[in-house]
Amino acid sequence: MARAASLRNASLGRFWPGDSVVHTLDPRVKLCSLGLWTVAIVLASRWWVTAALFLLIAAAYRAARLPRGAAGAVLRPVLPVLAVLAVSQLLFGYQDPAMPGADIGVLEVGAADVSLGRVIGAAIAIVRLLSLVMLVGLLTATTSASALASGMERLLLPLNRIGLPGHELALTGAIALRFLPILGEELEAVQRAQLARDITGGPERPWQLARNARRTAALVVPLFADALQRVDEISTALLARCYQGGRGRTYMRELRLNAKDLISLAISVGLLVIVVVL
Amino acid sequence: MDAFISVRDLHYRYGNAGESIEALRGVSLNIVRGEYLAIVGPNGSGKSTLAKCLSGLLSPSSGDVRVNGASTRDAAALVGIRATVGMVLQNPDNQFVTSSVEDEVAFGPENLGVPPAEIRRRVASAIERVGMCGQELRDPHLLSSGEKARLAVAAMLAMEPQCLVLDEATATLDPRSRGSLLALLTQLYSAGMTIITVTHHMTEVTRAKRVVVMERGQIALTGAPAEVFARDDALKGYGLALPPAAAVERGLARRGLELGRDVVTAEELVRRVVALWEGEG
Repeated sequence: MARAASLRNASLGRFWPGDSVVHTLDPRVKLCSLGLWTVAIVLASRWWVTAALFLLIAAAYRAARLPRGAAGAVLRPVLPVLAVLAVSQLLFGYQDPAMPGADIGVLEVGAADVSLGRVIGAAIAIVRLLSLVMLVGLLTATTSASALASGMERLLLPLNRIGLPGHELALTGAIALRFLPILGEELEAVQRAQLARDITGGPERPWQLARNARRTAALVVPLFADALQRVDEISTALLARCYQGGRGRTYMRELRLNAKDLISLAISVGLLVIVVVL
Repeated sequence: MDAFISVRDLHYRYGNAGESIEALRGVSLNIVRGEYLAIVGPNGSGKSTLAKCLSGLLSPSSGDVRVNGASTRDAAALVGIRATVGMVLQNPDNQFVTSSVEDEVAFGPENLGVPPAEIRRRVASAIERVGMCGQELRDPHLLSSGEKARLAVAAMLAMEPQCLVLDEATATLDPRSRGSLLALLTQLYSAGMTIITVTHHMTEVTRAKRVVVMERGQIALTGAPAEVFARDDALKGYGLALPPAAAVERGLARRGLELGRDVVTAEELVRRVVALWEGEG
C-alpha cells in the first residue's frame, strides 16, 4: 500500500501555483536551464563543486517559496534508490587515489576495505543524484503542465521540419506527469480490493523472487488494463476538444523572453562554463 | 422547424467484420435548435454511442448525422462539428489534460486557434458561468467531484458550442452537486443552448422537453416526459423505472385517487394533491 501512496502523493510532477521569480520564468528558459544544470552536475568532478551546486538548487527552492516539505516530498520516493546507491558506492565504488582520505581506512566489511575517500565518493554520488531529482522536482513544482507542454513544444519546433510531431510529444509528456497521481490512486484501489479478498499472498519477503513477481503481476495487470481504458477515454476527450496536434494552435499565454529570463539563462550557461573550467 | 441535428438511418458497429457488435441499428432523429432532449435506456442500449455520433466523435458505419447541414462523415467538417456540439464525458478525470483550472478551460479554444485575448475573455466568462471564480489556479485533479463536473462543462463552454451533450455527467455526483449541475444546464437551456443529456436518473429526465428511450440500438419510445412516462408497462419492459412522483401517482391511482398520468415532477404532484384537497374542502 505504501508504494501506491507514494505514487498517489507523487510530488515529482505536482505543480504548486505561485508567483515567485522561479514560477514566472519562461518555461523554455527553465527547460534549457534544467539541461545545462544537469550537465553541470554530471560533469562536476570536485566534491565542493557538487556541494555548491546542491546548495544553489536548495536556494532556488527557497526562492520558489514552495510549501514546507515540498522538497522532502519530492525526495521521499527516491530514498530507497539512494540507500542502494550509498551501499553499492561504499562497497564497490571506484576508489580515486587522489581523493582526500583515500588512504584512511574507516571500515572493513569482508574483503571490502572502506576508506574515508570512498565514503566521501559515496556522499558525492548521493548528493549528485539528490540534486538531479530536486532539479526536476523544482521544474514541475513551479511550471504548470500546460506551460511545460508549450515550452517543450516551442523547443521541439525544429523537429517539425524533419516530420516529428513536436506538440504531440510535449503534450504526451505533460499528460504522463498529470496522470501519475491518478494511477497511484488506482494502484491503491487494486491493493485494497486484493486485501479485502485476502489474495495479497501474505507479508512481503524480499528474498522470494518468484512469489514477489507474481504479486507484482497481480497489481500491474489490472493497473495496465485501467491505464489502457483511460488512454481510450483521454483520446476521445482530446477529440471532443478539437485537438489537432500543433496545427493552427494558439496559446492563452504568449511566451516572450524578458530580461529576467535572459539573466537566468546567462547564469545557467555561466555556471556550466565554470564547472567545465574547474 | 429545420433540424439543427438530423440523424438518418444511423448504424454504428464496434469491432471488425469478423467479430462485431451493432450498437446502433437504424436510428433516425431530428433535434431542433434550443431543444432539451434526454436520452435514456438500459446499459448497452446504445445511448452513449448515439451521443458520440451526434457530437462527431464517432463516424457512422452507415446512415448519416448532420449538424447544421454538415455531415459527420466529412473529415474536413469534423472540427467545426465538435466545436458546435460540445461533449462532456462521464469521468471528468479522464478529460483533464492540464494542471490548472484556467489552462483546462483554455485548452479547447487554443486548439481552435482562437486569438489569445479572446481566449482569456472566454476562459473568464466560462469560469464565471459555472461559478468557479477564484479557483483558476487550482489543480483539476484536486477538485471535488461536483467541481470537476462543472469544470468539464466550463471547458466545453469556452469553445462556445451551440449544443451541449452530457454523457452520464451526473452519474457519480452527490445530490447537491447534481442539483447544481442541473441548475446550470437549465440556465444554459434558458439562454438558448441545445441540451442533450444521457442519463439513468429519471428525475433528471423530467427536466427535458423531449425524451428518447433507447433499446437494443433502436429508438423504442419518444415524446414529452409525461407521454413517455405514461407508458409504464413499456418502460418496465426496457428495465426503466418511473420518476418518484410518477410512481407515487400510480400508487395513489391503484388506491382510487386519480391525479392524472401526466404527473412526472414532485412539484406537479404537490400541486395536484393540494388542488384536490382544496376542491374537497
